Amino acid sequence: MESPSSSQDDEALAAAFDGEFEEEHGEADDAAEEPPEADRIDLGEDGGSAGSDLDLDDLAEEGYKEVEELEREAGITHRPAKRQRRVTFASDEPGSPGAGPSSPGAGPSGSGPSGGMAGAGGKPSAAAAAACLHPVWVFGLCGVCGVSKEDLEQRAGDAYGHYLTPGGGGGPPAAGAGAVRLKHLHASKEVEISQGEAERVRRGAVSRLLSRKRLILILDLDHTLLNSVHMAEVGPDVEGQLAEVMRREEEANMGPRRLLHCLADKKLWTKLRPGVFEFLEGLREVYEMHIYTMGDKTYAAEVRRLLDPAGRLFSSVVAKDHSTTQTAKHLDVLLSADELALVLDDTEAVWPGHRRNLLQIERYHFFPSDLRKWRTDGTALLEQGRDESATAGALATHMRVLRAVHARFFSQDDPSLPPLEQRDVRLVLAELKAKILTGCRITFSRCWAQDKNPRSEPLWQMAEGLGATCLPAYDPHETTHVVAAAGGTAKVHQARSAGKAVVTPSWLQGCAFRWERLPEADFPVSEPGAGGEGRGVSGSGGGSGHGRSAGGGGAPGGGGGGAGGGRDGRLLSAEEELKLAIAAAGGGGGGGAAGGSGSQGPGNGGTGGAKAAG
Amino acid sequence: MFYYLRLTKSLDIHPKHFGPKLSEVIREKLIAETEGTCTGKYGYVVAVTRVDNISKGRIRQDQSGYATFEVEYGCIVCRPYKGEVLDAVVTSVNKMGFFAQAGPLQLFVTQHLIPEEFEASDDNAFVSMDQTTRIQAGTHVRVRIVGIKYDPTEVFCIATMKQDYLGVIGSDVI
Repeated sequence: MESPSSSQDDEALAAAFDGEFEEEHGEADDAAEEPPEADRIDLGEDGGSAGSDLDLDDLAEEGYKEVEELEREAGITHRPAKRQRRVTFASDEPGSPGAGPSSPGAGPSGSGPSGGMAGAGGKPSAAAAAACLHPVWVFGLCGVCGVSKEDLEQRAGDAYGHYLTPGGGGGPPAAGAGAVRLKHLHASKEVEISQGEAERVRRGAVSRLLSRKRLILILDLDHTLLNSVHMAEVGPDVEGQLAEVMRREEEANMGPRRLLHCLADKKLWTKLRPGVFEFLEGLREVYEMHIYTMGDKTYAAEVRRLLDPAGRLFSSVVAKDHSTTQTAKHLDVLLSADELALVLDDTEAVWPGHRRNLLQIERYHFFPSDLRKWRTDGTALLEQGRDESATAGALATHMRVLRAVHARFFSQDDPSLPPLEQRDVRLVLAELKAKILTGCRITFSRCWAQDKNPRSEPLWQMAEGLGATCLPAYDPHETTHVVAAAGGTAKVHQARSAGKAVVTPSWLQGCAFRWERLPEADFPVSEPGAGGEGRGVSGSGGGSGHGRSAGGGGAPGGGGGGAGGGRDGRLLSAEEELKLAIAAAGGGGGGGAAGGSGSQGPGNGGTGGAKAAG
Repeated sequence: MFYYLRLTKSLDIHPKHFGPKLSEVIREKLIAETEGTCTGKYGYVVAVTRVDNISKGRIRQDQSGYATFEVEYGCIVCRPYKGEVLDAVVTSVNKMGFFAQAGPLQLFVTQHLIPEEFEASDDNAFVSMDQTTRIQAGTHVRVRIVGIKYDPTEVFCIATMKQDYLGVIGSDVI
C-alpha cells in the first residue's frame, strides 16, 4: 500500500504518470510541456477583469483615432448618425457584473424603452442603468442594458423598498407587478417582460398580422388533433388490431403522413386524426398556428415533430409547464390579441376567459382504453375497425368554417363591417354561428326543472347562439321545433300532431359540432316506456357544467361523458342527466354527414331514450 | 475568450481509495468536479488538460477519515467579458429576440438590440427589410456582450447586434 505521505512514493507516482509529475514545485518548467509564455495570460486576484477591459478599451481608442486620421486625410466623411464614436464600459465592481451598457452612438434607437440608453462614456453606471427601463429580463439580466437583477435590487435597497409596485420612474426595475412570464421561449429559462413591453409586442404582432391578412389559430392536441394512450393500457388483442392498421398504412404507402405512430421513448401510441395534414396545410396560409396543450413539453415537442417535421408550421408550442395555472389555459402567454385569435379545442372548461374565441370540436376517441375513461358504453373507432373520414370528418368541417371566418373577417366591400383595425374575430365567429339555425323557433320540454329561469339555461343559450329563437311556451303558430329530453309531454303531443319537428337535445349539440342544420329525423324522441327519465346513469362521467358538451367524439355514437371526466357511479340529478343526454350521441351523430360517427347504440342508460341514429 | 490557467483545488478523498489507484481516483474526481462548472472569477472550465502535482494528503482532524489533497492542474477556461465581440450560432428565434450559442455560452439578443432593418416575420425568423438577410436557427452572427451571469454550471449573456461591424456573418442553413 503506498501511502501518499512518503516522498519515495512521490517518485513512484511520478513514474506512473509518465514523467508528467515534477518532484517539487520549483523545478524548471519543461519547455516542451508548457505552452509558450506569451500565450498564457495570468489573471489577477479578481480575475483581472478590470485590467483586461482597460487594455481593450485603450487599444480600441487608439485604433479609432488612427482610422479617423486616415479617413480625414482621404477626405472620407461619415454620416454622424451611424458612426459609433465611443465604446466605454463602466469599470467592473470587483467580482460582480456591474451595469455597464454600451452606447450605440447617436443612432436613433427607435424602440422606446431603450431610448434611454444614451449614456456616453464617463457616465456613472448607476445613472446609465437608470436611464434604461428594463423592459425585458432574461437569465436575471436586463435584456437591453445587461444589468443583473440582483445588482439592481441591492442598489435600490431600502429607499425603494416598494419597488415591486408599478410606476416609480426609471430607477427601480420596471418589470415588477404585472410582469408577464413566458416560459415557453427557452428550454429552461423564462423570459419576463413588463406590461408595457408586452403591449408593444402585441401591437407589433397585430399590425403584422393584419398587413399580411392572417389570423391566429391555437390548437389543442389531445382529442382534437390526435389521440394518445400509454402502451401499458393496450392489451394484446388491441395490439393485434393496431398491427393491422399499421400494415394497412404501409400498403397504402403513406410514408411520413402515416396516422398511427408509436412513440417509443414516451411509451405511447399516438393516432393522428384523419385529415389533420390537410387541415394544417390548408390553413397555414391564412392562420398563424400555435400549439397549446395540457401535456408536458417533451410530449408536445414529439407531437410537433410528427405533425410538422420541417418545423415551419407552428410559431410556438406551449405545454402544461408553461401555463400560468395547472387547470386553465390563457392566451396571454402567446402575446397575441384576443380580437384576432381563435382556439380549436375539445373542452370548454380549460378556456375560462376565452369562451367566445373557442371553436369546440368533437372528441376523437380511437383507442378503446381511452374511451373507457370518458364513458362506459360505446365502442372506439379501433374496435369498430374504421376511422373518421379525412374529407368529411370533424377536421374538414372546421377547416371549412375557419376559412369562412377568415374570408369574412378580411372582406373589403361589406359596409356592415367596421374598419379592419377594429374588427373582432369573435363577432365574426358568432355571426357565422348564428346562421346555422336561423328561422327555427324552438320550445323546450322536460329539459330543465320548472323553477329555473329558462334564459340562463345552457341549452337555451346554445340554441340562441346557433341563431334560433327560443320561445318559453308552445305556440302552435310560432313554434317550429320542440326539443324534448323525454317524450310523453303535452308539448310533444301537440307538436307531433301539428307535424312539427320533435327532437332530442342532441340535435342542438350535433348542429353545433357540424356547423350545419342536421336532419331532424335523425334525432327522434322516443315515448316513455323505452327508458323514461334518466336515472342513475352510472359511470358515464359526472354531469358537467354548462351546456357544454363534452361532445362525444366523432366516434362512438353517444356522446362522451362529462368533461373533466369524473366517473362516479353516483346517482345524478335529473338535470345532470339531461346534460348528459345532450352530450349523448350528439357529437357527430349526425345523420347524413359521412364520417363520423355513428352508430350506436344504446346511448347512455336510459336517459330519455335518446338515440343517436347512425 | 479562452484561457489556459493553472489552478489549485483541494479534494477530499475517502479512505477506501487509499490504494494503488489513488492518483487515478484523484484525477477522475478532479475532472468530475471541475469540468463543466463555472465561477465568476475564472469562467467556465472547459477541460482539465493535465494534473501537475498532487500534494501529500493531509488527514482531516475531524474524525471522518478523509484526507485532503491539494491538486495543481492546468485547464482551459472560457471567460467572457462585457464588451467582448464574439461569433455565435442562433439556436432559436421568437418574438422577443433570439437565443444563440457560442461554445459553452448561451446568449440572448432582444429585439431592442437588433438593428431596425430587421423585423420579426411569421415563421420564427427576423428578416431584413430588403429581404436579403434572415436571422433564423442556424445563422452565424457576430455580437457584442452586454451583460453576463454565472450559474454553477452555465454562463448566460445578453448581447447586442446594434453596432457597427456586428450582424449576420453566415449561415448553416442552405
